[in-house]
Amino acid sequence: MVLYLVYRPPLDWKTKGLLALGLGVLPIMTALIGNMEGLNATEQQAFCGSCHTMDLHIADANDPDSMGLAAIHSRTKMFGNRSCYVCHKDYGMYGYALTKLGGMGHVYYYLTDYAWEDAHETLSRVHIARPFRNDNCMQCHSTTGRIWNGVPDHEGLLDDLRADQTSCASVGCHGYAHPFSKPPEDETAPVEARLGPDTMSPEGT
Amino acid sequence: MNRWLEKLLDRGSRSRLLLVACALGLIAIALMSWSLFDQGWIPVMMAMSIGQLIGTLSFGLFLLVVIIDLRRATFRPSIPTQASNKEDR
Repeated sequence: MVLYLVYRPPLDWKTKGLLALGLGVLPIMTALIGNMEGLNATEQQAFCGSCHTMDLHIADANDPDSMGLAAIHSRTKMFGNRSCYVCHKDYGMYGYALTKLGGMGHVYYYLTDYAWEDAHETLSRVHIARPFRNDNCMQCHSTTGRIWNGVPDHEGLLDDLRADQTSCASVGCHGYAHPFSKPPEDETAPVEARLGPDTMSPEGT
Repeated sequence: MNRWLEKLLDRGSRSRLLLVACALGLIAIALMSWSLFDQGWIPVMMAMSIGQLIGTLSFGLFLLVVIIDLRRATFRPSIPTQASNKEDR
């Protein structure tokens, strides 16, 4: 393509063949690889953190001293640098496409509202689009394990939890996933933090 | 629109169309490659929307040149007609 732009060779079969490669095969291959890489990139924490409004959320999730749900989960290998996506993705049949559509909504809000403000200014206004579903927690915590059901609160609230009537990530239960982003009066330490590390047992969940 | 397209197919300059296609193709590849090196939301979204749109436009222009070529080409029949067969004898 560069050669054609600079030297403008005669349009013989050889030039046409090279142009077919440059204008057809090469961009299609680049688009395919770009799509694969791009869609993979959208699942990374760094991608979510590339909007400055998420700076504080990412910093908290990666803070080894933080006891928020997001930070606790981000420290495990299963979540790691994909923790935003693993927790917030839609697990339904069309989950992948719906999650991407939701992401487009985030871009819209970012461009029309939050882009021009500091992360601290937007913190009180940034909120989840719809209540966080317990289904997402139950992808790992099946609610059927012996140890999980041995917790009196779990046992008593089992039906409510499965029906999304009570949120796992709420005050009085495990606390907010991103507690720093809530007003001080709403901020409650997660149950694990209050009970101490000895009671934290992922086995049997 | 149809008349404009027909005029383009009849009298359009192939070399000029290819110049535009090449320029757009280079821009498209640059945009799409950018997202491979910088995976922030701007490069990724630019690659998957504007980059691919420009790339498709560039490929479309190339196909237009192919159509123009085919319309202007004079085809020689591969099977000789009976008349020409008689002449050969």
